[in-house]
Amino acid sequence: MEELRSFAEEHVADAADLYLRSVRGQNRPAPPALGEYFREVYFRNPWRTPGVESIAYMIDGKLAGFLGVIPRPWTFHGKPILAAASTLFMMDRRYAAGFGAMRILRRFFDGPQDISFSEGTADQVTPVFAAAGAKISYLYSFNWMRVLRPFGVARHFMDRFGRTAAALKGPAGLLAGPLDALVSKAPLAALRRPACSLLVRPVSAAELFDVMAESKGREALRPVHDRSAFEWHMEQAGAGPGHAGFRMAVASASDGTPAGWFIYYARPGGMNFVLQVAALRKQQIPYVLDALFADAWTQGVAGLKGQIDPRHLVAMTARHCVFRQPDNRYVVHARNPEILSAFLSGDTAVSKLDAGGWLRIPVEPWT
Amino acid sequence: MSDIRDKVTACFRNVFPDLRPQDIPSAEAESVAGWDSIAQVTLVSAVAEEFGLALQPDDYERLNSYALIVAFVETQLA
Repeated sequence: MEELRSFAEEHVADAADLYLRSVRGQNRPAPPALGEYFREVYFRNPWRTPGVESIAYMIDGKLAGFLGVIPRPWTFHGKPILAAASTLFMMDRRYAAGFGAMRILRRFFDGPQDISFSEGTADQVTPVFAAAGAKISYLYSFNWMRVLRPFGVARHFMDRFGRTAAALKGPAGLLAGPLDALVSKAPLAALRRPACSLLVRPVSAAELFDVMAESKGREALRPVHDRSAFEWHMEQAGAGPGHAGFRMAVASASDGTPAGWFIYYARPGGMNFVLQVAALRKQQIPYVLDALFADAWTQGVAGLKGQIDPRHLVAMTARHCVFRQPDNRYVVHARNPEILSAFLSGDTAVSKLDAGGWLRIPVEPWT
Repeated sequence: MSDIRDKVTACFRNVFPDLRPQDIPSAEAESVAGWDSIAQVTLVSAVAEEFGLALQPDDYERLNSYALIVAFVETQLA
């Protein structure tokens, strides 16, 4: 017998096992730490809202599917609305028959929230989201990349070019640094150390919250932050070895006036994700981007990547960013056509912080 | 009418290449291996595209057998 239920504590162990089995192909019991992380994220997040819970799909009393849902307060033209992010979607292949995936998503979209979204839905699954009523946001489905150290980036991707290339990754590290130092002297702006006119200083979550509160952004759709929720969010985004290098920084003019901020992972030598980069005023975004790239260079980062923000496209293009569409999509659902239209047209302040980009689930080994 | 059945059958063959032709007319979600949400959406979308039909979200789940799909197409084109 099939049943859709709100995800409960009794399902946690099975959900953790399902993650390892369905996503990582590992048929072993999940360690307690993974179950505890499910509890922290899905039952103890500061935005818990009755009626907007994660969903458990049961077949004959056994967990056969799961959709992790995290609600968030947003505003639409200044009025409070409720958003819900789908952060983890998994089905047990042992129960491959049946329309559980579609039923889970229809239940998700039928919830009381005003807007629902999911980033990074695999190409194969995106049609199921669409069939359940979602629209594909082609705009937010793009990623941007900024290569800072080309040989470091090439080394980072060596795992994708066969076993021989992967085996050479270690020795290649001895060459990548000197080669990158050499090319940074070339008369090509894209290869040189990024210049920056702002002062960058790392900050705490509380300090960053105060700066963010001064933002003059006027996008139709904006996430709402409160201090304690933001501090929890940043603590989670920076927790665990998989999130090494987590860095929050404010970029300011020489007189100390903040211009913007960025939140990203700054692991030396690799490609690192930017969770959010923003300016207090839109005219300042080029300078804040310069500050981000310069800061990442100083940290030894080989390259940065992040989710497209349509507000930044022109400035990013001018700063040698490249854009690519990975084989997954950003999807969104809203019953109000004006809310949906605002999102699809890019009139939002959404970033990787607002979906699942900060979760530890995909980046930890869970051994 | 046979043209509709032929085209729906072709859609089934594309989505379920291992399904025997003689089993297609009686095919339904509960009896065909691998007929999950992804296969369902792929199949129904292929049929909609073949016949130029618009679908509602309810249609994706409801049209879960060859017979229902053929009946749907016939109704839409009548």
